[in-house]
Amino acid sequence: MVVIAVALTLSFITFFLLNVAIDPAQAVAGEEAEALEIEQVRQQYGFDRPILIRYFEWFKAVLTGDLGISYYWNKPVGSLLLERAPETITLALMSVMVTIFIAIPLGICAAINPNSVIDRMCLGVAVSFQAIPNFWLGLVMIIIFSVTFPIFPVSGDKTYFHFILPSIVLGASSVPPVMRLMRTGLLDVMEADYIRTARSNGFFGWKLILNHAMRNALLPVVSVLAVQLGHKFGGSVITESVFSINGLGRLALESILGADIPTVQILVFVFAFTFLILNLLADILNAYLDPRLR
Amino acid sequence: MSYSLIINNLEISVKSLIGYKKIVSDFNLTLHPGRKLGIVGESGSGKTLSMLALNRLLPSQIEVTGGSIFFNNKNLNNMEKKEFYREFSGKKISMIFQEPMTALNPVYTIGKQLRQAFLIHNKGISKKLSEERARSMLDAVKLNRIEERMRQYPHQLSGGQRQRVLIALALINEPEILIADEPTTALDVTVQKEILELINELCLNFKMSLIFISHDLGVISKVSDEIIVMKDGKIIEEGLTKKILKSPKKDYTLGLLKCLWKLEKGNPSLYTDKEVPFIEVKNINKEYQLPNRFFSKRKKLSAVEDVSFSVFKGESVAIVGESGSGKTTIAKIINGLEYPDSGEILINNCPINKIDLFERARLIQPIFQDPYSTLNPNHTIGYVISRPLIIQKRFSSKEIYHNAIKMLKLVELPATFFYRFPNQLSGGQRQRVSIARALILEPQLLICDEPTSALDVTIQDQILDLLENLKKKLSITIIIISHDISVVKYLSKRILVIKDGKIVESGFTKEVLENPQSSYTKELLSSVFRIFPPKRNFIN
Repeated sequence: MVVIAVALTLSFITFFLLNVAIDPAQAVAGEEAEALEIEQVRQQYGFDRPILIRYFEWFKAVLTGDLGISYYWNKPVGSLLLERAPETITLALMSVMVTIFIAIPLGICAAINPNSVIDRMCLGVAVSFQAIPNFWLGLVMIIIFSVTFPIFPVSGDKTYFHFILPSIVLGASSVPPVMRLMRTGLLDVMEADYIRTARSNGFFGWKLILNHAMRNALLPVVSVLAVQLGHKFGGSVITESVFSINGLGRLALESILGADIPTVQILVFVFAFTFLILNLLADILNAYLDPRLR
Repeated sequence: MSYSLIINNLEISVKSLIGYKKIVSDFNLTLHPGRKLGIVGESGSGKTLSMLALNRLLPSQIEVTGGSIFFNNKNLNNMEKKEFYREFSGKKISMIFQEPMTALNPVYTIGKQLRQAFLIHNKGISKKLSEERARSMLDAVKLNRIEERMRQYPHQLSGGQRQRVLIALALINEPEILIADEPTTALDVTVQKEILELINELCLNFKMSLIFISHDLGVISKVSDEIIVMKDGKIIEEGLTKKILKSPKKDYTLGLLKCLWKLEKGNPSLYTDKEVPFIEVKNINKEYQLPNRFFSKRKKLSAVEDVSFSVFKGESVAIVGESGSGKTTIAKIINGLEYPDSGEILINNCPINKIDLFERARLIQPIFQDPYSTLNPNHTIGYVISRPLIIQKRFSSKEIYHNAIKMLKLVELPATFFYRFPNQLSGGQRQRVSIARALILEPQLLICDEPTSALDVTIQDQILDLLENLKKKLSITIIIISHDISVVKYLSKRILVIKDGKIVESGFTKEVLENPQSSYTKELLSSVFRIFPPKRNFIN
């Protein structure tokens, strides 16, 4: 229920802001259009009517599956989305996998030896990942792994192989928060009374961590991973451009530059909605992991 | 199966930047099969640490720095960590802890936790066999509806049930020694009695020896053959339980016993004549709404049901009941921190909701249970105490300062405490500060919600003495809330026994305690462990 309410509010705000910020008639007619032409377009497309009425019409159309027609691409927005979405979904999922495979082991290593050299090194690796800007890391990776040692393709999105470098670049940026959360979570849990109970029962080492501590420590990590995945869906604009992957991020960039209101409108809505759904999924997963939340 | 545990000159120290600081020294102990040993002492006396050391569960900055622990002629101190965990933890030596609420892993079912504990020492056993074992353990600790319990999570069980599960968990590998660290302190008295009986019975059935740690001599006397008394990291007295209870050699042990005896005797000076009712509680009801679950109707919990009573000026009345009986809710309602759903409260014949807040603060003041969390750690003691006066806005800063110093003196604290912070104070001192804070407005009614239950017995005794003196000096009315009948007996003239939000019995303390009418009161009374003073009077 809350999710739907938030989504509705959001769709209205984006619609309103977009239509106020840009003159839609001007956008359709083009930059060099005469005042008369713009006026014609305004009447033809119905931009002269009150914004509320246009919002409701747009909303009705969206509900019936008609997402509108892109001014810039001259195509239905729906088919544009379908074309571009798979690339972004693959990239997002793969980069979150990268995050999980790097951040969680690092976090565990750091937590097992708190304040030791290993802990500091893990933290160092994580922080440097975060400090490096995406586009720079992307370019360096291309130079090293595609140009000097041609292991991976430079750019494109034809096979899964093409996605490996971009997902490392994209995944690296969310390693630090996840890793730190894993570390502090595990450290907290190791202090808990039930860990003492498990120790007194004879659990130690890896068994203690895997059988008794992990599940408790993962709870906060799950929520953060959901947020990170949300960012990946919407925020891969730069990485997609660097590796010239034709995903939603690039579509967003191009339609903003082209003042393509219907496309931007739907994209903002889709990004936001994915965020909400992911958070919902994280809550459900947490409830599965922790019976007290049920 | 002959074994024995011998601890020689154990020494435990805290590691810090400047070196080691001894906190336990010269700890000696010999335990033979089937014997039951009690270790008694205040918090911080080192009783728990020595047992954690035996089990290799010491916190990271604390280390064993000397002495030896022999189990069947094997020195456990020199043993490899892995070997110790594999051969001893849970297998030969098991431990149960004080906090049953947090000592079970919240995310796994009871059944799974039991099975895992069994499997860690019995590798390669089939799931069916281990489940069978878990079930039989739950049966041994006398839990009902075992199938259901196996599938439940810890948060679905009560404190007593959880402690039973923990005992099952400790005994699943049939250890030879069970160490129980204050296993009943966090439980209600009625539950405490059942758990102690269970531990006694299991020791016989499993042929285990027992080391029982407690600050409560009354509890210890029920479960031990021998007692070790500890103070400041040293053993100060040891011997057979009977002997120590009859004729303790050290003043400290005598002091511990005296506290118990004093509580036992009651206080004769409390009986005064009735006057006009100062506070009248008329038919109050309070319901709480439980958080709703999906697709089910919101449930209501009735915390207080149709409770009426009155308190006279200068009187002290006790409200006694188990946790969850609604006694704290009543206190909150009288304090104005909660509003009743129906019914009213009259103070000096004026409904409480008509009295404005400043006025009410000068009439009623609360003292809470936990002196550790009720004082704001960021403020000085002086500020904490004088804050009620500051809020009232009628006093100059000089007056406030003098009043605060006066209050510190009244609760027998040095005036230098004015500039200290709460974390520099002990539990007893903090509770004195809370009392001073409550008294600075010279209220006519003090509501003490379990004022001593977070404190050691000796401190408890001092605080009760203080409250008693203050009552005489200031002729203040006191409502005291407690689950502990012995505390109540000492301080109150009348008593209300409350269960599930209803008053089940009321009357003069003496009469209620000597001749309880309701079965619930009888149950409450029978579960308090008493040690009677010996006939020969050597106290003075």
